[in-house]
Amino acid sequence: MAVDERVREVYEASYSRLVVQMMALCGSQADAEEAVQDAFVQALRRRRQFAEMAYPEAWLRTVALNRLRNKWRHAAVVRRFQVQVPGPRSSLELDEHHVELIEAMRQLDPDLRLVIVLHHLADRRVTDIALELGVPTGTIKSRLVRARSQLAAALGTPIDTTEEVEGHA
Amino acid sequence: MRDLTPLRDLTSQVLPPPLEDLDRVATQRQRRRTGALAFAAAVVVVVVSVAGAALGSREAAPLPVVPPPTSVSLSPTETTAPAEDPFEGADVGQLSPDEIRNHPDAKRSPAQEGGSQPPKGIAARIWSVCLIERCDPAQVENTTSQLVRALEMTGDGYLTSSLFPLPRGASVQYVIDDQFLVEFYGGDASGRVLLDASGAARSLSIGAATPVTAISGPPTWTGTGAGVNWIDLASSTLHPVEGNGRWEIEPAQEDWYWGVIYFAGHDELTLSKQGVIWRNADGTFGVRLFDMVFGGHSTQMLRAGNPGTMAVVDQGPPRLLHISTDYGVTWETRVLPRDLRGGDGRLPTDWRDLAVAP
Repeated sequence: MAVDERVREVYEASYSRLVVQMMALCGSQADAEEAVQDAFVQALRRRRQFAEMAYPEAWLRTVALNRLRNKWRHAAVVRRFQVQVPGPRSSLELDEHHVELIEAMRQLDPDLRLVIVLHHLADRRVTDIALELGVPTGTIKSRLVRARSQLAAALGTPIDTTEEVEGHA
Repeated sequence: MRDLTPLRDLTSQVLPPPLEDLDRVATQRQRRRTGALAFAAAVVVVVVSVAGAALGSREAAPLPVVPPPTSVSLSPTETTAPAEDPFEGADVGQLSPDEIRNHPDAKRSPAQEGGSQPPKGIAARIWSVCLIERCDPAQVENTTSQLVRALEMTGDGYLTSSLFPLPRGASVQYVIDDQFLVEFYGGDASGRVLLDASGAARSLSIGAATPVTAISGPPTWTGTGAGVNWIDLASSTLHPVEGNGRWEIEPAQEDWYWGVIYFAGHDELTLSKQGVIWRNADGTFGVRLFDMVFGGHSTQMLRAGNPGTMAVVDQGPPRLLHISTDYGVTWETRVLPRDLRGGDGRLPTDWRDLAVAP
């Protein structure tokens, strides 16, 4: 498969998914889309290496996540000197459940927010998250338990105990 | 965990931009980076006599004597007096701005990418002329012995315009009204010059850092590493804002100047201070920081379309609408129901019916 075809294939498969994950983390569609677009720009700048990656979506997620983390610290200089990505093409239609969830996610600590997004939205297993974040498996499990507890409290719903923390195969 | 399913369902709504648009950004960023690296190398190896030879038959005017470059301190604590020639010491090349624009090989390009956008009619563009056989932008972007540039600014859609030299290593940023800021960091000279479309130009000195609430001139972003700065127009001084470059401003893009100003929190995902910045009818500026419950996330600006009216939503909970209709003289806070989102970015006309926050 040609390099550009590979990039396009990943783009079509992963873009929307990554935007939703980043939006769950930062609460802003614009910030989420800019972070994901920046990640794809980086992929396009090194398209050969990107085409050979075994897990391109994981790499893109890491780049987008770093972009979100660095947004505030470097925003002024980046905005000033860097060619900007286009941003969102349209606004998402959010209903009350979306708003409620996003607001509940905002109340979580960033570390907890991240593991819950990686596990429940990106479908990453606990062991994969531990590897990705360089954190012991037990810590990830503990964070997931705390995150789910806090999220349930924020949503005013009982804690869902029907699912194991390792639930995603 | 079924509770996150609604978020997952949003995936089908996301509309990716064409991949070609991102590819274009990737190419432009690569070109800038390569240009910057080429410039750094050129600083080491450029020999003035080579420039004359390189001009060959395409030069449009005899070479003037180029003044020796001078240094301008970038320290935010030092103050340097503005120079009489705002571009003194800068490497502006061998052709005058007029010669560049009228050159048969002149090429035109937008002057700025990203940042605040000027109102309709106000614009700036760059004219460039390659003085050697072929200019590869990736290699010679900042080398004025090969590629010379001029900046053309207008306040009336190019019915009339002003031309300025554009030094090596210069970048252009829209500031306010018909004013643009040119910063140059080329070779041994550096500086910043405020230009307006009528042709006025003045160099800016660097003043002391001030608290954010002391901002009393148009804000800018600069490459000094100080993040948000503001310009004291009376003294032609650029003041950094205290806070190690972590203050950020987002203009509302209305017909009059106002926007939100915020400070990044230590976790880098949340904001620890937020407020509003605006320009009064008399040209002075004001800043108000809110005592917010927002939980660290950015406020939403709602446009009213009336000069003097500013409205921002603190996402809470509870969601609160902070609003002033008199250029920040008085403020009130209303409780904003969840189902009233202002998704189109406009202030609801019936906002006065909302409950006053306790």
